[in-house]
Amino acid sequence: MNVQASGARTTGGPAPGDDASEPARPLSTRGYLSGAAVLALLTVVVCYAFAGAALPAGQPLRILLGIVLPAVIVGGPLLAAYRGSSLSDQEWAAGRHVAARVAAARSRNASIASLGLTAFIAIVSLAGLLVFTNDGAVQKTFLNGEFMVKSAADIGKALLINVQIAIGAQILAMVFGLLLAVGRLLPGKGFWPVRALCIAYIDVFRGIPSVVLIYLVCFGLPLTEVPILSEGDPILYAVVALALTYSAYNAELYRAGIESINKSQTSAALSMGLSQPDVLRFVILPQMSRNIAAPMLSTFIGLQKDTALVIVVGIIDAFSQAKIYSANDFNLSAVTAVCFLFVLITIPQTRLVDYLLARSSTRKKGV
Amino acid sequence: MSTAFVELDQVTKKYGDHTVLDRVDLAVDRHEVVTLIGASGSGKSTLLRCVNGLETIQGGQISLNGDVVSGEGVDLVKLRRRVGIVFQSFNLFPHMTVLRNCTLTPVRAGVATRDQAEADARVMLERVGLKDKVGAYPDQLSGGQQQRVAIARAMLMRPQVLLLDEITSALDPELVIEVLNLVRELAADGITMMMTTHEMPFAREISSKICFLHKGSILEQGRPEEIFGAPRAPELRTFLRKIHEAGRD
Repeated sequence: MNVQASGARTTGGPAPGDDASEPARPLSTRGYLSGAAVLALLTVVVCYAFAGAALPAGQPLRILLGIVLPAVIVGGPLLAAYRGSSLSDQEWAAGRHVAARVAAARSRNASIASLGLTAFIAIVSLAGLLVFTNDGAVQKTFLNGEFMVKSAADIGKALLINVQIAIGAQILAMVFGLLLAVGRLLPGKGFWPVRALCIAYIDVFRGIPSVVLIYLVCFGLPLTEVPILSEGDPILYAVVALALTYSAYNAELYRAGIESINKSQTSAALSMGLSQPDVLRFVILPQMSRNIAAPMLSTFIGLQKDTALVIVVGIIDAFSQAKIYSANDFNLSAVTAVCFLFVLITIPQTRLVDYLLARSSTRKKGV
Repeated sequence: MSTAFVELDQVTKKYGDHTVLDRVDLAVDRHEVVTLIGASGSGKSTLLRCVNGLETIQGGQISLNGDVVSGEGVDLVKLRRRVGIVFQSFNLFPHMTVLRNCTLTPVRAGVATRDQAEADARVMLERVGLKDKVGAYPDQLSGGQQQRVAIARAMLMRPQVLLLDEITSALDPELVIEVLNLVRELAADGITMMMTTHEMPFAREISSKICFLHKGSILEQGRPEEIFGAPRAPELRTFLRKIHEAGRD
């Protein structure tokens, strides 16, 4: 090893840290700075166009909001990046190599900050430009406040149908999905028919589009004229149809969650004399539920959105109600209002799960 | 009829075609501490898992206090409540506090009411030096503390036999001593124990009997002074020499 090292030193030039070697130059700042400057310039152009489309008022306001304001916002970090780059060059020339590297690093960081801020402003401005372009055609078609307000009350009432279907289907899908997952994981040769049945169910119902299943169940079951089965309410049929699909999704989530628990936990619980159901109830499921909380919420949000598919069987849900308004008004603002409502419902759920997971994690770590 | 408290008679354990335990005979008397030594893969841990019923055996018979506890039709849940086991990796339940880890099985098994189980657990945790950790979660404890909780958890079921499977192997050296001290106390209390360990001085100190396993068979067994002082089997002599060379004797 020593022989190799000394050999390398003699034949390969000065080793790192060798007094005779040239100090490493700071990483280049030019690329970052140029990129940030070009993007900033483009952003100001987009902002100016956006201000022109959105503000019918006079030129001074357009210049103020379209050029001066974005230039000030993105100009700060850009200026800092430029100063850092210049300072780095000066420090290097003066032989202060460490100070040069620090200044270069600060310049790169400021360039990256400028790039991020500029990209954000550019995207928002482009979206705004799209909304207000062509004399505000997009805004008038999708975001007309008058039509939104007019339809809001009826859409709000109809949204309760979506909520009912979502909650009902989710409860059924969680319970049935858990049974499917446990059935699929039953050990031993004797249970293979149960395992096969569960696997077949999951494969089949994950493969059928929700809208097709809703159509089949809601229109098909009443046609069968089988007692009880054919006498249900359309909303109940929709709940069942979605539960059939989502129980298959949930079963796979549960299975992944159960399999993610270390086998040693099961061994320990069994070795203490807990029964199999107790091991599942007290050891596996509580740990699993924490692992699958976030993906389970994602699936639930998917289910909430899929409730809008009941439009195909004539149930007047929020989307269906909005469609009636949009057809009457020749304007899609009511449908956009439905989008806003769905988003308003789902965001708090996501934040709640994030909060619960964070709280649980903090409590366990004793922070 | 044998008077041994735990008796393994011609026990054979296979994983597919691979024989892990090959016609093992072993007798453990009440209040004895029997230590299994041997190289990794010799079958020590598997033997303990068979006694606890975590592994099924393909041949022979295991009996506990005269009851056959292996084979078809054995109530494994009842068996495991009589035979406590502590693992190398602690295996505490991370979502439960220390107290809940200790009370879960006694309550579910009907050994004690929740109040009684909690009172017992507090006493036991005080004994293992963790009185102030009842509300802590396993993540908040050191390895040594977690292992002491695991031992307390096993002891709260008042097992007839306690199995200790390499319980210090996952611990930092400075934490080993606190766990070994606890095992010393249990041995002094007369708890019947079977354990596997690489802590040879400790095995020599507290064991009534040492069994040397090699490739699934017990090649030699006897009192510690016989095993360490006058080993007969060449494989045992080789094993002890390696232990000596590693400075672990």
